Amino acid sequence: MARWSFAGLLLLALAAWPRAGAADSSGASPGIRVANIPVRRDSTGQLSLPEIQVVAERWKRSGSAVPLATTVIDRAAIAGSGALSAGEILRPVAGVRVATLGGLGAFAPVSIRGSTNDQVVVLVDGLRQNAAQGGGADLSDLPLQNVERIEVMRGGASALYGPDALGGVINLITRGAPARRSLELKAETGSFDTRMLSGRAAGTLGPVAGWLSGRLLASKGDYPYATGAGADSVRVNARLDSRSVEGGMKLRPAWASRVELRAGHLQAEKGVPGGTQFPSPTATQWDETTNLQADIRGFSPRGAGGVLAGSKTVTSGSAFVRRRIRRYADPGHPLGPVDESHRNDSAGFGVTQARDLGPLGLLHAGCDYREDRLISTTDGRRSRPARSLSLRDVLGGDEARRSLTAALRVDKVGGLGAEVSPRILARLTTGRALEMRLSAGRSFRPPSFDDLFLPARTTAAGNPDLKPEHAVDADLGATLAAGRWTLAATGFASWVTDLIQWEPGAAGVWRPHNVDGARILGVEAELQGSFPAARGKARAWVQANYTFLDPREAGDAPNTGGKVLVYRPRHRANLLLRLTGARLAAETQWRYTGPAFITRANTKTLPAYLTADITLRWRVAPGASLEARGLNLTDEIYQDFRDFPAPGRQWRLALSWNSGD
Amino acid sequence: MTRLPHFPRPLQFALLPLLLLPVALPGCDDAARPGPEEPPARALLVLNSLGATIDRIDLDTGGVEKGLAVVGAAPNDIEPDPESGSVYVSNSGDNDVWRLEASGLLREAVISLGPNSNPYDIELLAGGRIAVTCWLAGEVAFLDGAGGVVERRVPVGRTPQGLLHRYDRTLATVVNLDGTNWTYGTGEVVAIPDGAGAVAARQAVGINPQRILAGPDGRLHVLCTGNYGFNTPARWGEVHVLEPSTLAPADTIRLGGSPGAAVRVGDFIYVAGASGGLMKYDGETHRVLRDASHPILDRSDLWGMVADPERQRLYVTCFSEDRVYAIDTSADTLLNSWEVGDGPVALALVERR
Repeated sequence: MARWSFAGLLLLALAAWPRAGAADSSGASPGIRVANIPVRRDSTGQLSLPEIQVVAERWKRSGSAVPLATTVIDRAAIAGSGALSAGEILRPVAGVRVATLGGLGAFAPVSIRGSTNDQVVVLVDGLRQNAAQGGGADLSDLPLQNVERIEVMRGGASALYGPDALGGVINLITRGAPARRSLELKAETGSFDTRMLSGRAAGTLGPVAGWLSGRLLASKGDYPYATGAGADSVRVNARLDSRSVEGGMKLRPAWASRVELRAGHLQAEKGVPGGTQFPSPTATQWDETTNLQADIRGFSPRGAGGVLAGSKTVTSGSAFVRRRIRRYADPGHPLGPVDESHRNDSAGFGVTQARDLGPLGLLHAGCDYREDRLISTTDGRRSRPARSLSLRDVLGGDEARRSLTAALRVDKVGGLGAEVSPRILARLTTGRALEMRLSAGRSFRPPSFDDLFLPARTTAAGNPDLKPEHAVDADLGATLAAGRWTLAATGFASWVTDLIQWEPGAAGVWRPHNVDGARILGVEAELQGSFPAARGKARAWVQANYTFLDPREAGDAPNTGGKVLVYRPRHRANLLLRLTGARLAAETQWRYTGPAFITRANTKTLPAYLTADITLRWRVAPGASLEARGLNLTDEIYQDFRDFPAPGRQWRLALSWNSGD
Repeated sequence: MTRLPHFPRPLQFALLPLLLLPVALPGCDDAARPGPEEPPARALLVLNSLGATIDRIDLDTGGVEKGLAVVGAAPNDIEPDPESGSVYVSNSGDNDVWRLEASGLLREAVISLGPNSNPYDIELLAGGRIAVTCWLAGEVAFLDGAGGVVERRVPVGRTPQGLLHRYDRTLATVVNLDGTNWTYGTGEVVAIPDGAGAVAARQAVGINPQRILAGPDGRLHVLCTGNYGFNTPARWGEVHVLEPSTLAPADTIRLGGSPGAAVRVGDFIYVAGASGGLMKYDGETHRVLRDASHPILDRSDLWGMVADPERQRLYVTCFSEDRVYAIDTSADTLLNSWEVGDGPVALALVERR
């Protein structure tokens, strides 16, 4: 009888895994802000190049409002959270679900508005972290000590960010160099033999500003978990040993307003423990990622710098090279030793120009080219060029009460046909009290190399006949501000067609197919505010959000048509309270995740759970802080994915010093 | 000055309906369970692997009760024990075997086989005992079904699958799938004498042996599925006939397709599987009557079969169509079909006691 087994189950698991212009509150609390990406045309109508920019595709584009539903996590919130990876800090964001599949270093797939991990584009300074091989980006790999800000844009965005952005975009923007020299050091220890040491140095020398940062992180990861039968066991082979270094410099030559060069290298060795039912105690994964990136903004061959007063045009360009090498070996696999390696290379460049058309708005035109190459022991040698042309016109701006953005992008990816991704975005503000946003458009995701070329074998096979996934989505949001309080709500709907889904078929072999698709409805509600606490300079912030999701399979298949998509909790809520004083700060975070179906026929569920974290920070001396964290304080037993238990109660203790404080 | 598009005056209450919308929509509940009812006199239990459920088809009325029981993850086989009035289900994803009471399908016991076991096929032995192939562990586990314990485990080789108990010994097919390069090695049949802790005999057969049954000729018929055409050279379905006592090869019957299930109905043996449809050969003469080029039922993914000799019926599951087909074995014609749960893989015929 041809049925599936261990490998099929694992594939099912991986295949099944899912997928604000609100006014910033006055007094800008450090933390997760519901905010608009600001329009960058000033009141005089001059173009300007802000430090904070919307990042489109792989390079930063000079300013334009994009009123997508957006959450911004600023540097203060990043530093204050104590999070060690991007995955940790994004967990409480509305509309976003980062799954916990284990301890530090465990794969952390992200879903935005019910998307799959493949349908979320993750960028670092505009550089795409998603590999063409597939599988989406891994948020556990992205360190935070060099991140200035994280923007989470929810909703389809291919018109702005290119392929794959069906669910949304997560954009990490790195820190620049301060005007004066600074040095930061942090040492941390915690549960499961976790040790971390990080540092960052930055400064300016003449016309050159530069920075260098690095991190060493290691954890044994051998946390206990409940087996469900009343017994306890311990995760085996969940170790992490990673090191990263990043650096960059910023110049202001005569021929451009700014030139930035960045480089980064990350190495990680991870034990891969597998699921509790199918552990892999001898499996190891090695990752090595190297990035080189150059941005030129405000390019002007005549030396005008492009941003001088009176200029009507700003030209920018960017180029990058990225290599990710991954090796996976399991010498003790029950069916025989496994040793696979995959090298994903990508390189590209692009040019964008913003032109002030006066009453016709601010027009952005861009083109870019990239090539992805894969050398893999499974998929073979593959390459895929991608070209795009984009146009975006913005009427109005951040100081205007109304703005209208029309965007159109044409992508030509490899052997696929041209994909046209339009989007329209509108924003309306009535005074300071109410803002409304509307976004509608179309997005696409081409099949990954794994989807197409995984060789036919006993358990799984690619499908070279796959078509791209498409989604048409719309959202309508409103933000109400009253004093220090802001309430935002967004309703959204998405219709995905030609959804690529891995399913068992002939011979019990798992293959990707274009299935009918999905219909996703939902609501995100966010509340934030601050108020003075009882005494002195102490201050308190409250942030809360709730996400309702109703993602259903399309079509009329007998058992799955109209059913809720697997691993998408329908209810999620987060509450964050922060209290800061002159020397002491405390933060507590509560996260509720509702039950989630784990079979397409909606016959089995994972139970709901509630976790609580607390962070205490004490400024022991000028520039020096002591931080204590307790994670999952109630020792909640929970799983985001069947057979992948999350760690129970943990603690972390950190000492940091910053010469700039 | 830039001229801006005109927007209608916004509604200050726009937030309210958005916030109230989730309240109006239903939450996430487990599938509804039907209440206990008098079980039918003669019924077919359908094990749905993707849905992890058991459906019941009343063979007298034709009525289908879907989702009568929810079982463990990735169930692969269901085996009734008429003596005890129980049915056993192997949950390949949860590494356990469940014993359920056959009429109400209430769970009576869970027998854990431990991580990386991957239990597959179940064979009923005497005295309330069962044998289970543990695909990933490369073992055959012998369980005291009534007591709910594992009695012993016998290593048999890589990826064992089919089981048969005959002549005081348990016979298992060993698929021999190599996970390093995902190719099939030479398949084997192994014999484990009752009560023994080791394999006493083994015999090489064809590629990917998934099923073994006793033929009307008194010999052992080993269904070799082939490699589905994934490896070179491509190998397709065939039956290796072995002498029952010595396991010596006696004949080879070529069918084509990729069959993985087989049942005996009188002198005939019906086979079906991933491809090739429902085929048939004479178990006495070994003459192929309906091969992959001319199947009785031209469907893919026919993974589960059970025969009802009294009524001259053969029931076949179609995994990809979520359907069970009924075949009249006196004429080899399609009689009926029922829509069932998600991913049916195995069937069991039960009668009310």
